[in-house]
Amino acid sequence: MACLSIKGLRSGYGNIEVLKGISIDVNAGEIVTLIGANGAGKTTLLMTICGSPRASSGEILFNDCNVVAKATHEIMGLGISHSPEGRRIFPHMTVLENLQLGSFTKHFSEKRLRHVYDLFPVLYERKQQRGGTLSGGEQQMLAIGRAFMARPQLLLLDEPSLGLAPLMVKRIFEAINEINEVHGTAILLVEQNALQALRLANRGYVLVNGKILLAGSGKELLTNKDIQKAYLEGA
Amino acid sequence: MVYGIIGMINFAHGEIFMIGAFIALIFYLLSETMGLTYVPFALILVLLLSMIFTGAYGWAVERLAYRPLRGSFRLAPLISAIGMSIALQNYVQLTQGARSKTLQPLIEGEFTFWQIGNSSVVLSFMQIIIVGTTVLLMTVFSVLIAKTSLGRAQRACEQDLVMAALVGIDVNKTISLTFVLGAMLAAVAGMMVLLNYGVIDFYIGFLAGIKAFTAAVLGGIGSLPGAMLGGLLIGLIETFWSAYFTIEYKDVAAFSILIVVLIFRPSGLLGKPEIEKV
Repeated sequence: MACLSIKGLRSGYGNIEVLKGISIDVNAGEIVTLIGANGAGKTTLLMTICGSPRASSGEILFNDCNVVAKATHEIMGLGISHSPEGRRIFPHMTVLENLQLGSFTKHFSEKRLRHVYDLFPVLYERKQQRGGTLSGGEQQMLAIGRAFMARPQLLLLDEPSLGLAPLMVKRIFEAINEINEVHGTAILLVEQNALQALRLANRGYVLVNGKILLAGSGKELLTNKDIQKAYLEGA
Repeated sequence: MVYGIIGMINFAHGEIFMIGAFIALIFYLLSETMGLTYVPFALILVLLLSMIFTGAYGWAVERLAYRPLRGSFRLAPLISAIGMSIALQNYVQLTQGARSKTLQPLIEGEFTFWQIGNSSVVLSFMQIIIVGTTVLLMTVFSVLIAKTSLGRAQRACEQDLVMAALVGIDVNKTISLTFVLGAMLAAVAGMMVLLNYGVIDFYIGFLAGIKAFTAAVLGGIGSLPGAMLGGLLIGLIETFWSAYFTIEYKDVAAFSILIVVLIFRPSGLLGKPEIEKV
């Protein structure tokens, strides 16, 4: 069953159209990855799902409900969470307050908070520290934890491995896998680190200049010659 | 307070305070003609009513002058705030007349601390009420901002509007609510000034607004305890200046401090430094 189903989506900023008719599906409980070069429209696609910028045409169905016309905060209340590009931690708030804000649309649950601390024990150690003082990797954990606090059905992750040390990247990917396996959360993962992302994902899409060029299972895409050449070489 | 949450200086806040004073006066006179003679009850009723009505003004100002400009360049809302301030002054001048309005003293009596010969240290009941109300409101609002879900939403809006929406906060609603709360506080201040001095006119908001701004800068802009400390310092400086030098130049003293603070310590006494690791 498709949890998220996007059909013929067009979107952009002002007069510049970034997404030129995109159709993708994310099934319940699945990890889907979106790979593509800089400027292909990956971040724009995730942000358009969240209603900012608004789609100029096409459909975004979440649980068969079209969310294209809804405001961002309404969409987030439906069961979608976003860990956006650049992490966007609230820098002057403590780790705990950042996590509390994650569950803004739902009742705050101590149980959820414990799940997050189990996933990322370092967040528990630093719970009274201000978000802005964390290291890059810790901020990324906090961003994912904050998104997870809303108990989402679908988690959007924008470049969670960007700028992190290899060991940290490994831990982040393990956590993504755990969120998916233990909690059954569907994940739409945008990555430049195509190799790791395709290994983790059930399926993947390749986005080039605002259009879907290729789609397939993670394994198919990993062995595809064109993809190996364009995205995986040297990785 | 609005600055601390929205990150925008609301120059029309002084006018909101002035309108709060006028609304309180109107409601008090109304309650008097309607035969409400028990003063404490009338005052509490008037306070609540003027908070509600002034809150509505705060909401309208945000809706008209600031929301259409959100996402525009930083100076735009500042300019429209000054425009709003002039418009509100003239609106009150036209509808209420340019003359000062007076109210007879309602709360009289004083409390004597000690007496030495002919001189004594006294506090009027009015002063005690003002200090008590201020401390109470400051405590309530500090807790509101620090501990509640609404307060967290407000701080989130100040730090990152886009991310605030992404965690599901209704940004427009939160900002409107902040303006309403700010206006309600201003209404309380307006009523205190009305009761303490007994004279108001359409121009009191301007000087109060600028003084409040000076106090906020001195204390560290965006910090609630800072604003309170700044206000206290400005008040003390003005009083001592008037006592030891000349009362005519007390505003000069206050504004000189603004200049000195801006030159040597732009972040204020308790302000947070601008540089941060993100």
